Amino acid sequence: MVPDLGNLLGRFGAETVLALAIPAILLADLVGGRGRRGANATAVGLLALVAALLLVLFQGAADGAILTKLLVADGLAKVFRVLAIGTGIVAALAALRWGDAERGRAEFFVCLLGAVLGACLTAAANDLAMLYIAIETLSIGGYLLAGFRKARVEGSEAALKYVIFGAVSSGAMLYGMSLLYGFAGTATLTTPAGASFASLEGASGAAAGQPAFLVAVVLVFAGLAYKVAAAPFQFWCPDVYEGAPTSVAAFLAVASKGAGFAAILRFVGAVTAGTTPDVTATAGDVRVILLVMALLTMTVGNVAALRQNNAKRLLAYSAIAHAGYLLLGVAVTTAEGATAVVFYMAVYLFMTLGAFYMVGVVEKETGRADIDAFEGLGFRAPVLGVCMAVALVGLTGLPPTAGFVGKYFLLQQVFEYGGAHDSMLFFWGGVIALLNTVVSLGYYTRFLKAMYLCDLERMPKGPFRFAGVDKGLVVALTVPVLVFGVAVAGLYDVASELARGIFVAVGGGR
Amino acid sequence: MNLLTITIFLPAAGLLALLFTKDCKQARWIGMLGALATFVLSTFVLFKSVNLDPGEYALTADVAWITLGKFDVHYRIGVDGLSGILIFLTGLLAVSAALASWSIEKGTRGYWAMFLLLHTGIIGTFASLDLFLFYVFWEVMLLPMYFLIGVWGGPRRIYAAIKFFLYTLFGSIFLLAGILVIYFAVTSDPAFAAKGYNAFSIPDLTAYAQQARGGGGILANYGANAALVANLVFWGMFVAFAVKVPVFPFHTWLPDAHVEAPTPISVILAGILLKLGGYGMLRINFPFFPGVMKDAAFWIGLLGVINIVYGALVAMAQTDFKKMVAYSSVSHMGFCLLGFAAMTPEGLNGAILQLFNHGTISGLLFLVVGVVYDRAHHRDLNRFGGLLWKMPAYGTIAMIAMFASLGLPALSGFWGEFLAFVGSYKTDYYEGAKLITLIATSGLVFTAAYYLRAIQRVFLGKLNPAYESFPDATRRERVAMIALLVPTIFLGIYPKPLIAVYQPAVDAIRLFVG
Repeated sequence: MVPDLGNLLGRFGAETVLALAIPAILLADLVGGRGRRGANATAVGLLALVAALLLVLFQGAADGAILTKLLVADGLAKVFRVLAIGTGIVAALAALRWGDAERGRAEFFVCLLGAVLGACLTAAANDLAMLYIAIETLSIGGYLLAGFRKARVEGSEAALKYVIFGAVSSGAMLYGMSLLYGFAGTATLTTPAGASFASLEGASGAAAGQPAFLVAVVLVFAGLAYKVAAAPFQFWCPDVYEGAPTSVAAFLAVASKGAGFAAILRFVGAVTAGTTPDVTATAGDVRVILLVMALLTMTVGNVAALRQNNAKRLLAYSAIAHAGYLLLGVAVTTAEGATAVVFYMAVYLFMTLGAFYMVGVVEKETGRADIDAFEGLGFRAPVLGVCMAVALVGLTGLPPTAGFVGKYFLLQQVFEYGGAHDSMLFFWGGVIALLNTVVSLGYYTRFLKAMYLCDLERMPKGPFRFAGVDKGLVVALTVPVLVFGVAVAGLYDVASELARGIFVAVGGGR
Repeated sequence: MNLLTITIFLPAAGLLALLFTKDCKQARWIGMLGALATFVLSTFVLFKSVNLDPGEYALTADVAWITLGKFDVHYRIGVDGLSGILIFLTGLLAVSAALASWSIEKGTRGYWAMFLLLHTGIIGTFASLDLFLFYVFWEVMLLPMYFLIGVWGGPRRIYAAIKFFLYTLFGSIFLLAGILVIYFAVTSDPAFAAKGYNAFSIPDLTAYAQQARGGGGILANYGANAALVANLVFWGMFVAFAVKVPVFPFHTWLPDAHVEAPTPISVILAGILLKLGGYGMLRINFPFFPGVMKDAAFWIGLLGVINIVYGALVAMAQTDFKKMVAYSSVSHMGFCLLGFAAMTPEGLNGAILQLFNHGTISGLLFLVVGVVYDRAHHRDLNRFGGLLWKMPAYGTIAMIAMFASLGLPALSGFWGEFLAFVGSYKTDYYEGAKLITLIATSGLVFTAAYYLRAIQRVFLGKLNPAYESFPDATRRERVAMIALLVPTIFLGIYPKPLIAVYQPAVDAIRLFVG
């Protein structure tokens, strides 16, 4: 097949722009005098990100076309690319506001654009090798960004931990991928003809019929779970979020996790598709593994978060817990489940980016990132207080925020699966997930307590600067959390349209 | 526009007005106006909810909210006699509580914003006829309450606020689980769809539940485990409502919340929020699962007795005036459970009367405690004495309130307890009702004991010289208390009008008993 360049550029123009922008940033940095150092690179970087966002939004057709066997341009790819690039823009603005990129803006933007490019490709990868390369691109960008403030010990520690954990898990993933290639005889996840990866025949019989097929799938999960910070591969997450610049932590918590979930949805969709007994048996096992992983992840995240005092660490554990909630939607392997994941991911973007951004603002103003730094902020900076409260209520999953509706859709899938397949395991899984909400309230309210329930007399005096770009961005990130809590159907329809095609071919089973 | 919709969202509209206020005085007046308007509107709602047929709702509105195929959530509201009297109670207590909030100085705008938002949540919950909407309003109440206790409460307010929040959320997740399970079970049930029912509509689900359908009831389609799941969901929802009531052993948040909350918030907490638990049981818990209810009645009756006797005994051991009143609430809400479990006309009548009357009486009692606390800055029963001679008007009101609470005939507290006992004694809905009722009557003795002792220690005896200078209740305090005293006396002498309002709702609940 001769790759149709026009089609490729038409659908993946954003990636092309990002890839070309990377050398352009380096060149732009060389042009111009010392006084303008970094300004050119910043301009090119931001411009490229905005151009890429517009290209995905308005140009990239989401028709499910598979290009050069490696990339698929479907709705899932589109939504997670928008998410990654959008997060990249917010992270870039945040980094510029807080001076996170002052060691070298050109270098920062190169790393950031590289990571965004990796995230976009991860979301669109339709081939095991492509998936691996895309994830590595995302990861390497992430490693460099995490340690960007080289002078800070925590930064270097964070980057090193990130690299070591990353190397181990991507090693496991690569091993799993090589086994899968052996079983199926191909690395393509979904063929243009729509044939299922699991029922493809390799050396001897259908792939899913091989005893070690499940082991190989679990090994790939290890790599993907690391990317989304799901238990038991979550250990790096708190240290990295704490040590990394806050803008980078926000990027990792949203864009990196989102790309990981796109890959998980696509991968699970491929290995569970089919109706032969071998495939349905495997699919049943995969569902149970994912459910257990989801419950473990959210419980570990929520319980560990209770004891944190550092706001960034706390949000890191909260991000782990949310990976657990999102995995519930994958575990049921239905199109509605995928829709719920996309819906929640969109909502999660606003809540988490907003929360991280506000932590960054507080960190910049007070020089501290512990919860006590929020003391009295509800009264000193009322807008920040209200926005933070909305983000936290959303993360807890209480109405009338979109966080509630998103969690509702995820849980609905779990209880439906329990009823439709007579599975008390899924029924109790849903109950455990709900109980986790109560646990999470315990730590989200610690922000509320610091912001509002403090002693007014002992409250720190002095002005708290929160205006201009910071205020505008925070409000812009908060309003959708409330709007989508009421105007649900619009977002859900979009999510359902975008997630169409995932899990359609999955057969029954346990 | 629908009168009920206006009643629900008028307090929230007051929130917007608060944004434009400049000082605390304006905020106070907006809050007061909001409360008064809520009262007036709730009175209209009450008049609209009389003379309905069983199962009929007035002031209904039905607008599609989230439509995604089968997932069809509506903004569906309406009132029957039961929700009508409780919305009226909300309006009445809003005015009393607003008057008692006059002295709030700290963060006045925020206080009134939370106060008004809380009322939107409460009235919305009573008015919802859609499960999803019910849950949304149910949870909307939590955050304002958390702040009202946590910011404006007493010394241990932070502990009390988080405890209240965690307990209530713990309960309500089981309600959510129930909603999720019900949704799947009925949407996959062809018989349900054939009738054109909606999976979130409370009237539809109630109607469907009454058409006997095997072990799983409305959950019959939840696969092979339907009967087990129906039991789990019934008890899960029961826990959700039991936390609010509160039913032993889920009651421990209540004394903390009451003691730490400012007076007006205690009034609302005891007067309204506890009623939401009982209301939820009557509206959702029991009618949805008639099959399970039959087996559960004994246990609910037993929990009722434990509440009555245990609450009274613990109240007797208190030296803190407010804590005593708080535990008396635990005890008195037990009568509601006793009446529910009986499922006889008398039992249900008594239980609902008790819901309303406990609302006015306990609200009044918390105002009484607030008045004396404002003057003495402590609530230790042993350090008072002879206040009746110093503060005659206050003392008289307080003593009437206490006599009403202990169930003296001719005051409103009597009827609920009396009817609940009668209904519970003669029921054959479950085995062992007679024994349970007999044990419950012992609670009356303990109740009389702790109230009479409190009257003696606070109002009678020798006046503590330190309190020589206490002024009698101010005009504002008197208005707040008399607003609640009037229904207490009136309904004690003549409870019939109130019973007539909610009688059809009782008949509707009893349809499934047969």
